[in-house]
Amino acid sequence: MAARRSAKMRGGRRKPTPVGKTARRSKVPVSSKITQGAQSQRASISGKASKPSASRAKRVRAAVKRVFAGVLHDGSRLATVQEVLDPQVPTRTSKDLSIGESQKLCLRRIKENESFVSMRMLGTSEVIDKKRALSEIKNLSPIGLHLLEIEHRYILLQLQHHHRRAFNAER
Amino acid sequence: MPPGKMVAIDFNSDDTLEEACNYRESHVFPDLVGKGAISGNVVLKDADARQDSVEKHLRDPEVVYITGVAHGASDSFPGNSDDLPVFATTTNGYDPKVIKGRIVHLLSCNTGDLLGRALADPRGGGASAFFGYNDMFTWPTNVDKKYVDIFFNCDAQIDIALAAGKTAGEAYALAIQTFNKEHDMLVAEGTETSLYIASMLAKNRDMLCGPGVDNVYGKALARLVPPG
Repeated sequence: MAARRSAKMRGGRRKPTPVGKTARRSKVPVSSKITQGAQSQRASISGKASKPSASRAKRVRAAVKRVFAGVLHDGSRLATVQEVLDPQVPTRTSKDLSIGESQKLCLRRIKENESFVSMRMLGTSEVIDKKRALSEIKNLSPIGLHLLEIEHRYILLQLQHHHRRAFNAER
Repeated sequence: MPPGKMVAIDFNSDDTLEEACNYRESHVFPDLVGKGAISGNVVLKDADARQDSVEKHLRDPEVVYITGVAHGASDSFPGNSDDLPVFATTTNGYDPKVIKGRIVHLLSCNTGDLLGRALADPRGGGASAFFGYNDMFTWPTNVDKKYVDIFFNCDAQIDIALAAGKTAGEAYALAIQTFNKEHDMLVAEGTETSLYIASMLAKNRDMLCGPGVDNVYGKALARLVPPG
């Protein structure tokens, strides 16, 4: 992650997006980009290009476009899973976020999560449901900070998962 | 090595605590007694789990293992009680002799921060080892029960390993290993829910304090043996 970011910062193929401007979205789907190397390698070995399942790849792309997983490098707006996975879009996620960015990202993610998993904690007698979670994160209470940490772990697992799915969809 | 007794201090005053207590009572305690290092147990629930009552039970020289469930605080167990806490970082209120040479395991939030260190400090409580969490132990609710059981089962590995005669260091390692195994299985399941539950589980794993990670939590070679 750090290596990828630093390569971009050294003036690789793209410059970081100037403040106030939105990042240009890549026209090539993430799933295709991730597996470009592997695909061309397979094609050269077998002598013909492999055909990815179009519907499967489409589903993956739809999922990664919906969910936010970081912010654009300049902090101008939240970035989707697709953008974070896209090496062409400069983004930051997880521990590279300030507490304010992290709070904003997690509030948005939980708000838009229709299947939020309620939880119990030793430390409070009540169930932490979606409403309570949003309120605790807004107040950055100890429970809110705890939820932020869980959400960050969740983001990393999601990124890892979508990366694998994108790769597999092309196989 | 003669087996000793276990004292469980399980507060069950609300639904959250009740869930943890029920799991331990039905899945963990029956497996501990009579199998290796533990010959008998005393389970003190809520009203019986007052400091004076607990202390009375802990004065029994056969007690080797102290475990408990409660909403904790970094410096006391329980953390939100109107009564005197059963254990606190200061010896004000409880006699440190009652935990000297014993192993303590608290399924309780935050106690790993200060209380665990104080209990395992040879100049403080003098417990031979301490297990606890330095943040809020969390588990999912309104999901399939199998997911909930994973969380308590990981913690219970400490009790099971110690009762089987393993060292505190081995018990810690076994618990971490179980957390990792369950985490990997949840990740492999690959649904949004299972990934979120895996994140929760990983957070609990990283909060676990014990003699495997730092000697401020006692001796990794400690076992359940009668003190003295």
